[in-house]
Amino acid sequence: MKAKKLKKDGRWAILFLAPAIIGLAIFTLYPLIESLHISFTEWDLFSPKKFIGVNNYVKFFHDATGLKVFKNTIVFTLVVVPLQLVTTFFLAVALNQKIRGVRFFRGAYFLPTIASMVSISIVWQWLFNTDFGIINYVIKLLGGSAVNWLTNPKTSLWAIIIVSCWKGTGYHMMIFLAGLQSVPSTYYEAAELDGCTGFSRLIRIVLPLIKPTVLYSSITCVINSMQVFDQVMIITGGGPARSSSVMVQYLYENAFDYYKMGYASAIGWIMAIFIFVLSVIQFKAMDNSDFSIE
Amino acid sequence: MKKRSISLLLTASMLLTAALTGPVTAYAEEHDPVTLTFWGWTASDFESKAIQNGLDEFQAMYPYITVEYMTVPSADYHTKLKTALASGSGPDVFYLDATQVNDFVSADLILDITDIAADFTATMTDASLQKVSMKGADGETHVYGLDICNVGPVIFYNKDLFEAAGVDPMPTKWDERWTWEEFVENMQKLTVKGDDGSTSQYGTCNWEEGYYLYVLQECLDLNGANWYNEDFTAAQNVDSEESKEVIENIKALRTEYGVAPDPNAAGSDTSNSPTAMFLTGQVASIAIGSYALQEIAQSGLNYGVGLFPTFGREGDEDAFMVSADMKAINKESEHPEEALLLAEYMSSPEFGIPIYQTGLWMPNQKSLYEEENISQWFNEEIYPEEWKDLIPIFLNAKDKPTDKLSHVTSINDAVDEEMQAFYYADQDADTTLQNIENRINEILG
Repeated sequence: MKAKKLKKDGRWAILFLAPAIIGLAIFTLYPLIESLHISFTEWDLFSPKKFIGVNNYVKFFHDATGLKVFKNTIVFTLVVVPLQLVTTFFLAVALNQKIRGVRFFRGAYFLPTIASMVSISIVWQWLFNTDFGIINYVIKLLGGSAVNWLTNPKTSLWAIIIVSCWKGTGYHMMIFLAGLQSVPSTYYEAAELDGCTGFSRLIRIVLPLIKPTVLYSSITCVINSMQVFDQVMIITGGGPARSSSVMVQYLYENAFDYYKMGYASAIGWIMAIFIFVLSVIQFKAMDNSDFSIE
Repeated sequence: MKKRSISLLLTASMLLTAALTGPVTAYAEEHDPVTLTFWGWTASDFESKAIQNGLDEFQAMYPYITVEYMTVPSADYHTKLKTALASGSGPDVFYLDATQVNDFVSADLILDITDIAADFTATMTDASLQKVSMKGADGETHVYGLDICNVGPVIFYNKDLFEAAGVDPMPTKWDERWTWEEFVENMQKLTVKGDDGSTSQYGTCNWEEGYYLYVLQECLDLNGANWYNEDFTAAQNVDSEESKEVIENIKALRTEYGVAPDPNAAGSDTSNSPTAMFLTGQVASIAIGSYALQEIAQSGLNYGVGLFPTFGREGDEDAFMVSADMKAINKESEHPEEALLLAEYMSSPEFGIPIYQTGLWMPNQKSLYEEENISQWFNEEIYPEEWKDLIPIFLNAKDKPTDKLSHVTSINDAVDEEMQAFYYADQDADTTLQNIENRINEILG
């Protein structure tokens, strides 16, 4: 009787899951497998695919432009991830206090997250203007000299980093805030009784308790950083001389400007593998971390 | 009686309607209804309105044809168009930038209209015909589209700022052009520095724009620097002294003489940025394609137009280059005859004149450059008086090299990357030009 019911329930489960599974198969699994297949071919969309083995993968590691954009992406990720996670964590701690106007500040810091990347990129492009931008105006007021933010190869990637950190602050702050608010007040009270307060309490009590939140923020931040695209395309176009060009932009150019679908797919898979490895490292690091309440 | 009058009136109106619509209905009945799709990139309000008006007129002329007009943002236009055509869902007729003709023909996506549009193409200016045609494997020249417009490189300037600085109006006659040195000298007079040493007004701008546009290609040709072999299958002599002189002169405007501002960004589409600086009086002149006239004319600025300075090469009359878009027909269109009708109409003077009058384009029909026809499109409220000097120059212009290349997007990106390394980093001119030649040949090879 029970087995019969389970069988009947199973049929219903399959029926209800079918739309999601079919959607996943058509729109995610198939493109994923097909892109892997394409990455082993030479294909321009118009001619038949030509199997070339791992040539596209080998080519990437011999492609000066490919290595340059790979390096830019790594630098971007190495700067943005720690900078964003540390600042947003302390921001969340500050905005978790019972201070006047806290709701306003939370809203204000979250505002860039919901603003369109295209709009803010255009605004920032003007803010960075060498002659007439506000940033250089302030620098000059403080006695400095104007910086060619977007036309100097040494500063263009930093301009993108600044915009990205500003844009991402609200999102990670909100995630940390949710994590902090889920910590029961009894932990704070117990810590206080043991004489653990202030910064020490933050590091020894709070941080270990919100470890899953930290892990989530860290992984999403790494993935988003590796996939940075919009602000690069709009603010610098990857220039000057590819100094701010990144992996996704190079992938896009190869696929849709140069019609090198095989090479673009290979770049996509190299990125995917790299992100996967970074995520595994983060999981392992978090498991082995001493983020535990002593 | 009353009912009878109404009945008579209804009958009379019915007969009148039948009499009036009879020919059109009969014409429509001769053909099965046809729906054509037409793609263009997102255009200015003037251009969009002119296109819609033109399509309405066309549909009134051919009542059995319905045209569905779709616009695609210009940044992704050719990518979307190419993928749509490749997947069999492309439009019947479409705008195509002249630089893309070679690649679209190679991918076998455009209808060859050499024979069927011969009467029409005979009326086009030489540059226009060069733009829409290319040499086939059989050695013959094939036509792949129809054209309506020409755009060429000019310098727009702010007459008030020139007058205040005591600088003469820019020459518009070929023999009277400034030398490069005179140009720099005048731009220096127009550059204003504040007490703190910062520049509040620059003499000129936009000389470092992307390769596929107008400025660099025009300057190279003015100085006799030819980067390609006869059939545009390889780059050669890119690292010539003439090329080096051009790019060093352009860079010096900003870095040595300080008469040009740092561009807002290098790499992204910054065409709005220099135009905005010019329109707001921060810059006294701008080197740009003549298409900018439409926007400048709407600004209320007291503007004039001039020619690029000469680099001193004798016999450079052949250097003026024009380009722009064209109308092409999908090779797989189910209605090629109707598609050709639409392409012809959209390339006709009837369609083009309202747009020429806004200043966006110059005509491409030889007849419109004849003295008695100039008044049809020369709108005195838009075109400055001295523009009349440019008319013969536009008529006798030639096509741009980038319109003849294959893999043009890859080449543009490679050239821009190297030029940016020269303009904004410390890569020297010789290395830059050598790299450009190597990279172009690698792409074309």
